[in-house]
Amino acid sequence: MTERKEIRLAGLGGQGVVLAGVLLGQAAVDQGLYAAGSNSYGAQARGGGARADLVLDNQEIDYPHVEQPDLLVAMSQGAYDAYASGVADGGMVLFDSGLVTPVAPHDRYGAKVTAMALEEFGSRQVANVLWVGLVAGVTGWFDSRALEKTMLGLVPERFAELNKAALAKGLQEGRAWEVA
Amino acid sequence: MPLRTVTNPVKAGSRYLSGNDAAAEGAIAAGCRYYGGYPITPSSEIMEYMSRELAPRGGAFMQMEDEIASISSVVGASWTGSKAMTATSGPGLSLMQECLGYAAFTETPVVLVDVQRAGPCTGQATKVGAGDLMAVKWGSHGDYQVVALSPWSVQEMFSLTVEAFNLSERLRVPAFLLAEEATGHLRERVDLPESLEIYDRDYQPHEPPFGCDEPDGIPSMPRFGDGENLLVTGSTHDRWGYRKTEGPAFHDALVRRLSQKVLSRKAEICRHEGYYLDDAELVVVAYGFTARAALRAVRQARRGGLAVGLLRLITIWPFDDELIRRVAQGAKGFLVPEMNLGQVDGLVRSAAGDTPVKSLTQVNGSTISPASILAALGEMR
Repeated sequence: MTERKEIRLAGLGGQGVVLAGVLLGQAAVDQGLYAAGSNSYGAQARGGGARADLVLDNQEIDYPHVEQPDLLVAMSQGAYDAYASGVADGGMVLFDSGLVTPVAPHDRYGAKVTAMALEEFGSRQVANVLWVGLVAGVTGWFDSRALEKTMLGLVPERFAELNKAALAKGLQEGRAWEVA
Repeated sequence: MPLRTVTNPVKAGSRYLSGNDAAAEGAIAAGCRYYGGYPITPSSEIMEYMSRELAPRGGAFMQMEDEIASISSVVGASWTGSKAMTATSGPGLSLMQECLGYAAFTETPVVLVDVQRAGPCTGQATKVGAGDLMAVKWGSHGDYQVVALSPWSVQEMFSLTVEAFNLSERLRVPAFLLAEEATGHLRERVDLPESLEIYDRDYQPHEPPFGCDEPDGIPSMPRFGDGENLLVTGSTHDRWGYRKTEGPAFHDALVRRLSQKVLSRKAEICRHEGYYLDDAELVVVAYGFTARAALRAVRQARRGGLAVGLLRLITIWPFDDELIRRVAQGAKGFLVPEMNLGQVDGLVRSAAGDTPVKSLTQVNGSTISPASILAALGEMR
């Protein structure tokens, strides 16, 4: 990673959006990068809109808020509708194709992440870690070993193996995407 | 010297912290051992942190019944010798004003973190604002001084909290960390030092605790239990603390000294940073989170060929009008972006002389964007 990058993770409260953002931000700092993260903050309850924004840079960050994301992860239709059009030129939109009906030009990078979490891991809860893996795999902005180490420091120990497997799966899927 | 270097008691190195947690860690690092508070959005994480961390470090934490009791307990704790703090937001600050004046008049070191939200009144509890600048300085009645520092990053939520404690203890004044919701809830990389300098209260036995011969002097501060004959009163008092509510000369000298002990030390207290100021024709004067947007806007404007710079105020109170006068000499105009209706704009105007000042205000509960500042700069060409 050589210059400022902006990531926006958006979905519904309860999908683990905020934790995914903290994990990516902490991982970036653990890898020696600069990171600044802001979450949607208000009276939202489970099921309402949730957003985690992250700015990464290899030097000190001047403005710490996301202006035009280079990468959007849309975990719900509402998030996709609200933010897909605001992505920077040349930026990417990843979406949960089981939950989001995309429209061109942001219709390329879909994966049934929630369904995958349920079917392969028996838990909807690991969808956010799958997303973290997908983001790292598709962007190449994170060191996968360091990311795993950071994640294990943040998740409860009894879920460590489950999350390790989900992260690996996400990384593998993300790397398989051909990025223009 | 009461300034000494200590090992940082919190984890040093590169970390990813929220602003509110960083302020709490800064307090611990500065030696704070008492927190009295009442939770209020968007400052509550500071209180949560202190509720966990103070007791294991030999300190005390009290959740009080309201903000009036909170600051009163902090003043009391300070007189027992503890470095003491509270944190709040606008509505809580309003309640604290009476005792803020008491702290100033009794020369009690206290640190207050104000994580500002959109006011007035209860306003928008979860939304950002910067409308308390005047309230921290002028909210209590009578003439008094405070110190107020304005952090622009999570790093400064830590370092300026330490600085607030040091200034508060050294000057015996209330010191504010004048933060904003956007910084309190920002998570960001910080690089915390292995060691830091902290100021421990100056106590000289048998010296008067409330006066000295110098018109701007800072008296020695005993604590209850040191064996001094200690009287603390919010009424006019002599240098030993005896009430003197009828002597005009006493009152005049005391009120002037309490102001002068701060104002005569502005050169030491007032801090700022300049970016691209050497050849700047237009200068953005900004503080707090807004200065982050201003720096990005200034860099974008520079790439577009505009000769602009940023003057970032770190100390808000006392206000460094001499700095504004100095920068005004080389500038063709100032732009003052603020998340209030122009509270620092007025201060800049009064110091700017003939240099035109443009105010950019936003009070909609969101941060000012670099694009807004860039557009305002474009209009000033």
